Amino acid sequence: MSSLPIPPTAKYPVARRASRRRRNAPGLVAGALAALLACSTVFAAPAVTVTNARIRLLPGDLPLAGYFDLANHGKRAVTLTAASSPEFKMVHMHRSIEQDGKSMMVPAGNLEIKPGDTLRFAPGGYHLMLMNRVKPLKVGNEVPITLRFADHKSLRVMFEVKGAETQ
Amino acid sequence: MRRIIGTLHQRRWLALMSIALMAGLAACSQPKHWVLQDINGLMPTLQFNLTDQDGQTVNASNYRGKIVLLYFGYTHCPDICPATLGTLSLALHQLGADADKVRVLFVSVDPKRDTTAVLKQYVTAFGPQFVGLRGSDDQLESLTKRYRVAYSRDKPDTQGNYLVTHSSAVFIFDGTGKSRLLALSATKAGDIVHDLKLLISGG
Repeated sequence: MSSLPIPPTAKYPVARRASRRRRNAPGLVAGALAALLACSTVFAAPAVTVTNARIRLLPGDLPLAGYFDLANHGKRAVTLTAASSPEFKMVHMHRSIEQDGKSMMVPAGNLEIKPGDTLRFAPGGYHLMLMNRVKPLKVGNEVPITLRFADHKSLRVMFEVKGAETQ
Repeated sequence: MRRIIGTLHQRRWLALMSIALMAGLAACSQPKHWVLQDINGLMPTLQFNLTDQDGQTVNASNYRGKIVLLYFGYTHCPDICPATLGTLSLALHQLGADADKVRVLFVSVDPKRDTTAVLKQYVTAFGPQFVGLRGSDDQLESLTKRYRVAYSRDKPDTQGNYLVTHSSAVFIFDGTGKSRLLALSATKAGDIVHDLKLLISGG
């Protein structure tokens, strides 16, 4: 699971709770701050988490699909705008649609995820189209993909490379 | 009092009988409980002339005796085509040894990029029952027209990439080449397994 670490300055619930605690118990300030600095990702609650991140491997240099579940635990909507990876020269956010019994792909555009919602990239719907591998991939490899959001935050997610029958 | 009870009994008996009769009639009108869409004989029998992934010229007679799943797609399709073939692959896994009674014919609607070498690598990734087929534009057109399958190719972009629109249908034929069932890209593997088992058992 990957998560967006929230910097202490961000206006997210946990950061606010931490500052309140600081006012109530000044003696703990130094220790709490030191801990926050030492491992801020552990202390910060993840506003956005990604699970089930997977890539369906196909032979040669055929375009691949990346899928994941993106959950927004924060109090504000987040907007997924793009994705990129050092392992692929091109990454597009696409959506498969069916019209009159025909399958086709259209650009996904910007995708807003409301608080409490989960956006699923799954077969037959949204998918990352991963083109032009930088190097050959094998089942079991872990591939980093960075998801970019409208507020200039980004989230680096490790995707597991799985077999052709991956759903 | 005894008379009333008797009447109630008779009424209940009558009600039960009529329910049983209705159920029986319903069963008669649907002798096979297909999950997929029943297209028994509604589509033309399996017929084509194409080249397989080993470069061999093949036609429908090469697959007589096998249950054939016919699907149109292209290998540069990242989502729907491998998702559909993946579902079929899972279904065949669940059939165990009976999977050998089935062949999945993947017909490329993008033969320019889908050479026999590309097709061979591609179908091998899904299983030994998968066959990759390609042909000339004329051969492809006569097959797609036969099954009223529409497809179109976009203009290539600056990098030469282009999208292809294609049918989401999986046509299922029995061992004699007769059209029997229709699945779609979104059909679940379990539903396909259910109907393939029926077909294999002579349904």
